Formats: sequence, C-alpha cells, structure tokens
Amino acid sequence: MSLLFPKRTKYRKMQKGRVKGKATRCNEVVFGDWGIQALAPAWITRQQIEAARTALARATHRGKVWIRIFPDKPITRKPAESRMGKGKGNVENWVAVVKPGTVMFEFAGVSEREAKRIAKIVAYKFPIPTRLKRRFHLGGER
Amino acid sequence: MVQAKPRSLSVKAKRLRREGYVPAVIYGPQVETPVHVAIRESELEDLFRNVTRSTTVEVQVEGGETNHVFLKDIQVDPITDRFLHVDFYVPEPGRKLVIPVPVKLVGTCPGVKEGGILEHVHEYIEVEGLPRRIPPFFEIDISNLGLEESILIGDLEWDDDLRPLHPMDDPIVTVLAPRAVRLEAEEEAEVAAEAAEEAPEAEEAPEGEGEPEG
Repeated sequence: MSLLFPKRTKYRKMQKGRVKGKATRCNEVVFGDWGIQALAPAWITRQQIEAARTALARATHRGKVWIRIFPDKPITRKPAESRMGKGKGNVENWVAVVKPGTVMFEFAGVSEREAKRIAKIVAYKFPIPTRLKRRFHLGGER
Repeated sequence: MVQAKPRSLSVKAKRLRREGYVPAVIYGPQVETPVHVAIRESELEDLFRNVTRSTTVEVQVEGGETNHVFLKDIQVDPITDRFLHVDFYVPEPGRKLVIPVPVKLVGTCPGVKEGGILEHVHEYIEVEGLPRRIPPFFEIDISNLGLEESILIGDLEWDDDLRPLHPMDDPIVTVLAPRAVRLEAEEEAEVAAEAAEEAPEAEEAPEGEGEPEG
C-alpha cells in the first residue's frame, strides 16, 4: 500500500489552522476490538500513518486492521534559501488533523496481552502520546 | 438493585461527578415527568460489570418508588472512560419495545480447529417484544459448528411476543473456510459447471451428424 493522499481536491493549498478541543466524533472503537487513541492534538503525516499501519499488520499477523484517519490536509513549504514573499510555497506533504480522543487505528483478532504489546510498538510511530482503547461493552455482554 | 438519590437540577453535573456521583434520568411512557437522579459511580461500575443492555435493572429512588428499567443510553468520556450520564427507560408492561439483545457464544467450535475463521455477524439481535419476554442475552452453542456452517436467526425460538427485526435467514455466526480451501472449492465448482455445459452439447452432436447435408 502506497502513502495515502486524496485523489482530487477542490483547492490545492490550505491555511494552517489550529487544533482546539477534544474529538467529539471518531472517539469510540466501533469496528474492531481494540483501538489506538490519540491523547494530544497533532498533525499525523501520511508516512506516520503508513508506518503505523505496517507495524499493526505485522504485529497482528492475520488479524484485521482499520485506519480511521485520512491525510486530507496539504502542507506547503518554501524552498530552502528563498526570500520571503513571492507567494505560498509548494505542497510538500499531506497530514491528518487529529484531536485528543481520536481513535486513529483499530484492530481485531488478538488477545488482551497481545493488544497491549502491539499498542506499545505502534505508539513509537506517532509524535504524540497514545493509549490502547478497548471497545465498550457492558460486563454481561463480554 | 441500584440506589439513587433525587437530584436537583440547580446542582451542576460537573460538581456531582467531582463528588463521585453520576447524573442519570429515569423516564418512560408511564412516568409523567422524568425523574433526575444521581447514582454513586462505584455502584454503577459494579452494576455494569454484570448486566447487558436488555437486562431489567431495579433502581430504587431515595424516598420514592422502585423502578424496573432498561439501560437506554450510557454516556462515557472517550478519554478518561468515566461514566458521564445514564438514561434509564421504564417500559410499559403491555407495550412492545425494540431493544438490542446481545449474543453470547459458548463452546469450542470444531470448524475453527480445522482452520476456519469464526465470524460473529450479529453481536446484537434487534428484537421487538413485551418487556417481560426480553432475555438478557441469547446463548448460542457453537460446539457443533463445522466449516462453512452457520447458525441463523431463524434457528432461535421466536413467537408473537418476541420477534427479531432481522430477516430469519440472516446468519448470527458463521465459520468461513480458509482462503485456500475456498479457492479449491470454487475451482471444483467451475470444472463441474464446464463439464455440465459440455455434456448437453455432446448429446446434441450425434443428432446433427445424422442430418443430410445440402
């Protein structure tokens, strides 16, 4: 799987913006049994997403993996040693904007012990603290 | 049984939570005005350890009556996993209600031992029924489930007072064959289909031979 980015966009470049508040959506584990949840705001680059996906796919062996974030924000950068002005720089990368609480990845088909181990490996791929989140079930439903 | 104390809405929910309580509300078709209550967080945690969404729970309001309720909604903080609010629904005894009933699988599946993948299609079955007939969960024995076999919703016992809102031929749990086995089966089916196509042609051919030409 190559690095993710949108097929087509309405506008080529985007303003920076600020990440405020907690995630009010995408904050529950809904597909798999376990989720990797962000605990701080961040821009997650497509390389980081791919690194985490690869790590998860390897660690879960034959388990299922879901990617819940998509890098849809273009990041521009001016060439090195160029003077200020002359317009906005070129698109260099794509990122996903992540708020605290966002469940970025989900996986299934592993035991609790395995899930903890996997979460530790995947955490290294992100620039922010993350935690392992279990799908919410009432006790009698497990 | 859960003990609840009536709550004045002038006390903010945040303060209640700081004091170790969880705000909750009790309502239903027979309850004239919703009753706002507060429940000890520890008590609620103990309760949620044993119940399901379709279990009837007794809530005793301090200085009030005891209600037999269903858990309608549970709000959980996505980051701290603390309970924020709970909705209790008091059903009307003679009126049917729609509720998701969880499915529990018991036994060891022989199909999985043969390399199959157990797919739990319906973790909950949406049912419509009278409150007294709604079970806390459906227990399904999978100890006789082989490769490529399923247990359907129609395999459970239903009647007029309790019926599923899914089609009867929907699988609840199924054992998928591993991919290699599935591909082999598909190839065999293709070969069989080709052979079946060729066979009628071969039968028709001798008739054509016998006809005079020109």
